[in-house]
Amino acid sequence: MAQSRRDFLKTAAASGVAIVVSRISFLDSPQAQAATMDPPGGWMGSPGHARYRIDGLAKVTGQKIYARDFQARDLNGWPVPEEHVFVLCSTFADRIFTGIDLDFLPPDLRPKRVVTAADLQRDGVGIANTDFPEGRYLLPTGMRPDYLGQPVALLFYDDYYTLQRARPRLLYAPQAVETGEAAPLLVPIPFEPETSIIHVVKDGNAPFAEREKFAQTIGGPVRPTEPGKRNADAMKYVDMIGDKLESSGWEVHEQTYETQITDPMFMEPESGLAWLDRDDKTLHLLIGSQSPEYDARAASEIYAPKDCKIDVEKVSFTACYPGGGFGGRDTSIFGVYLALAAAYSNSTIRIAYDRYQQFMTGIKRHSSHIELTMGIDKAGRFQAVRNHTILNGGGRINVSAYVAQVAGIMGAGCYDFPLADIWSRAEHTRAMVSGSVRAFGSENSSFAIESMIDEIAEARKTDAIELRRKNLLQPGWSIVTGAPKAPPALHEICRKAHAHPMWRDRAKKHAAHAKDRIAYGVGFALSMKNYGTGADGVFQAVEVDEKGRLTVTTHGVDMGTGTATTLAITPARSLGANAHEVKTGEIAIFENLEMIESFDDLKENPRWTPIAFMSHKAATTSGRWVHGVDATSQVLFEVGLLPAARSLWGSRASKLAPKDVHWKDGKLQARGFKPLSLAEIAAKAHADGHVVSAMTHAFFSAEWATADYTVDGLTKRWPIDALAVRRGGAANYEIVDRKNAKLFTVESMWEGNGQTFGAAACIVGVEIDRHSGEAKVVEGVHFLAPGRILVRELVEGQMEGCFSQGVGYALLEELPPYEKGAIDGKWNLNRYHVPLSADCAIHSVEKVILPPESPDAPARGVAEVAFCPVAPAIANAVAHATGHRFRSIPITPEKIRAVWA
Amino acid sequence: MATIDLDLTINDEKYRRGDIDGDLKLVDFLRQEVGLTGTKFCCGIAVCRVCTVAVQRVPGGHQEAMRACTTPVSDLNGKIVTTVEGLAKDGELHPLQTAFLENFSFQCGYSAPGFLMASYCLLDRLKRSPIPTADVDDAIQDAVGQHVCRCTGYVRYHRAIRQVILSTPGLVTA
Repeated sequence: MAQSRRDFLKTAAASGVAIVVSRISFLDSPQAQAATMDPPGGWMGSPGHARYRIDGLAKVTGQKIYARDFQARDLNGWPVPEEHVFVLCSTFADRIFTGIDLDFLPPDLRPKRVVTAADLQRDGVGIANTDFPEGRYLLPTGMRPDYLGQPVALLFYDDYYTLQRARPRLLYAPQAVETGEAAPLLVPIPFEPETSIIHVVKDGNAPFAEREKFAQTIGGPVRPTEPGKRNADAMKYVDMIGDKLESSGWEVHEQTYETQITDPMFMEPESGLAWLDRDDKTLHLLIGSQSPEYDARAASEIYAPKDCKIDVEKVSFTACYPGGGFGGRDTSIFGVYLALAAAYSNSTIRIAYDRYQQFMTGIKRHSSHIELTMGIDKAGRFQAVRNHTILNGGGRINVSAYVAQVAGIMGAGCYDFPLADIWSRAEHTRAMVSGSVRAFGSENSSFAIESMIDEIAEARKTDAIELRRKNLLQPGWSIVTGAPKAPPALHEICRKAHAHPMWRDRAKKHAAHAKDRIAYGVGFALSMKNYGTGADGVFQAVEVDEKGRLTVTTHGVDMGTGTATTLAITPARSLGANAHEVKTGEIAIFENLEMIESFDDLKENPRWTPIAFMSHKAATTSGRWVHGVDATSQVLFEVGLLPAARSLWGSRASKLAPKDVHWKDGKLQARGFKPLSLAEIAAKAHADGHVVSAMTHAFFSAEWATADYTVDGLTKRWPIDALAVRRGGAANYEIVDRKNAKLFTVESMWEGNGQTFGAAACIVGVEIDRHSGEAKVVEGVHFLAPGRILVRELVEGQMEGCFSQGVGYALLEELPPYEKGAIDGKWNLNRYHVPLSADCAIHSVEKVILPPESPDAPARGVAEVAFCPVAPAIANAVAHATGHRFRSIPITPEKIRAVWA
Repeated sequence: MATIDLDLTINDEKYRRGDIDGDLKLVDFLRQEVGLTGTKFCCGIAVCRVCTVAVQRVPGGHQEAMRACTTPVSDLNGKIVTTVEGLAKDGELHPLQTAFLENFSFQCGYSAPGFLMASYCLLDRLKRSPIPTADVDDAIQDAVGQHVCRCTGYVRYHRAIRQVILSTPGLVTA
């Protein structure tokens, strides 16, 4: 079904987490305290610094912080009896499902109750908006499963140990899921929207603004069957690019690259608790999620239909610290099953996947098939790129269309091509569901492009880094796929890499191993990666108590990347102190801002924003959430604490402006006035009714929305799109309406394409055993240009984690896509090889962090950017060592042995 | 299902339970029965080692790293178990805990208890049999090299453990 442009924009820019105004409001759960860390004073360094993670003490002392740690008895008011639910899945997708039969289980291992699609249908359970029209949370009988692993029933056990004993028999239980006649396999079809970007420079040297472009980012999809001139013109250019590649006399390289399905393999398998309080009509959920707002909203929406017999008026969500995430807990459907099970029980529901189930049902990284063509002129200048990418999205759309979109945006890498024909799409198949996993589509493009550039360099007998340097985007240029502002440091990284001894001496070292059993090779790869989604919204509040202690509240989640710690030190810039507490995963409190989210332009409505809540993803801590807390801290200072300080200093201070004061040694200083501690100022602010808490929403798309706000007669322009303040002695927030706002229309947001980018690179040295074929990373250099550094140890930690995951992606990790994949219930860490320390050259990888390019450089996203170059650098190193180009990862010993045989 | 009378010590506290399933895995006993959830569950097949605890046969005996996800409680009768909750004493963190904090060794933290307990056992071994400084990295690799961590890349775990070994008197010979 063709989408309208409006639908397309609405879905595309939202990355699958669009919010709707729901009849159900969220409760501020008292149980949230159970999952909120009370940070020990010891973590805090001087203002703006952390001695260790704010959540560190809880983690090294084994406190209950993960969803899996909680039982009903830990939660005030929840029924102590628990029911343990097993989500029974289909193990086939080629026959009709006719029902379930659990007679194969010994009587003592049979569930007490079973809920099937018939129950959901009878009770009028609906479909969450973001899942529409897929729904089918439990497969009805008479249908072919949409995909392998589609749930068919919820099995209820009233005893943990009984389920534990039954679990191995239920994991892969073809005998439990009855089948009827054969049904044709699903023919892969694209999830819409597809991404198509055609970029043409008319005269070869035209400035970017005058280039002829046809891109989804400026005009909607051009490749699908959308009628109209744009589409026809675009296709003419597609043909023209094809003709040029064939007839221009360029050197043309055309290859196919493939990447595999992998599992995010976060350490804590998904777990959670749920309870439907029928008296209060409140559904309580406790989950460790990257997207608490999505989970809560989806849970509310399934019971929203008017004729639904399950009466839920409120959803109370408790966000726990996720035991890892990497995208795999972003819009996971796990929470929906908790919510469904709760409706069929009076007890507390507990679902705790084991590792086999997590492999079977958790979100996966897409595999990709990339047909890549590049044309290069005699001078070594890139002239044209054609990148056609197909991702295996599996059985539910989840965020697949947006992963394909990012694969497309990154489809020309960090290089300048006068001609580009990029087409990326995710396909609906019967495979396990793929979704958001670290790098979000960029890793596929990065592997293909960085591999091909090495192939070109090899064919031309030229230095691979020099070839890249000749074709790099310049800082500030728009990128070929339409987004503004290529990141700085691409050239500097290449310069440093080119001069590095590992690169300089690679040929000598390679030759020295030529007759050894162990071959040696060096590879380089460069990547540019977007951070943020192009349209990001963040909520936050910063408040000070009477004693001067600061609390930051955010709907962001810390999945280990250090968000809570980073946000804790952020207020120091304006408020002279770190936060004592950071409350993550909060939702309900932000209803005080009464915001309305819509992709309709509602500029006259001061409560409107295009994106209200976003899930925690896309390496956005440093680039987005920090901005929100920083701006909010500034607001609190200027409208609350500075006025209180002026009151303490007396009438002589009445004209003191922010520029006249500064924090030093924990005190606010102004020439000629007694320094004041934050505690003194806070006490005064509380006593006199000054603002003691600021709550804001900020929205980013290429730049931050700004508006004027007037508080106590002071009008100031802030980079936020909503503000509420609470005064000392008051219980409630007052909304401060924005004025003269510089907002975004849907068109400007999309056409401006609000993506922001960071740059990273790797040099990797590998050794390869000529007998076993085993490739081993033995040394490396990891380059990153993060801009302003907030917490160096966290940045370096992200680089180290990215390096390790890159090793796994290039050499070790793979899940077969269909019946031989994790659906067989036999996949665990004995078969799926996550890198161990010995795989990662932990003592031999140098980190090169480039300094900020300017004093006001932004703090850029790190946690995905640093991942992208690792696998292609390894692949290039393997090619150098073996003399054979592997265009499919992982590069296993079997593959290497096969070419050396 | 064979039941046993269980009598073991966990973090200096005696636990006696009658008529308990001897095949019950230690990780379930700790998390479900005792409420000590610091010992984590991940693979359940003794590969990833996040569930590692320290076990002594007798007071003063060697601390042995044991994987709680596959160890039945019947194997532990009469033994002394230390979990991550038992590392800090009298309000003072164990030096390993402090080093893990100060090195930003972990991220999501789910693997941290397993790394702590395995390196705790390593320290116990080195107290009894010090090694040359040059062998420290290999000893760390032997102790935690099979532990899986998805977030960190391992660098800061190894760095922290090495710091503690080198700064604790009597663990290295030169």
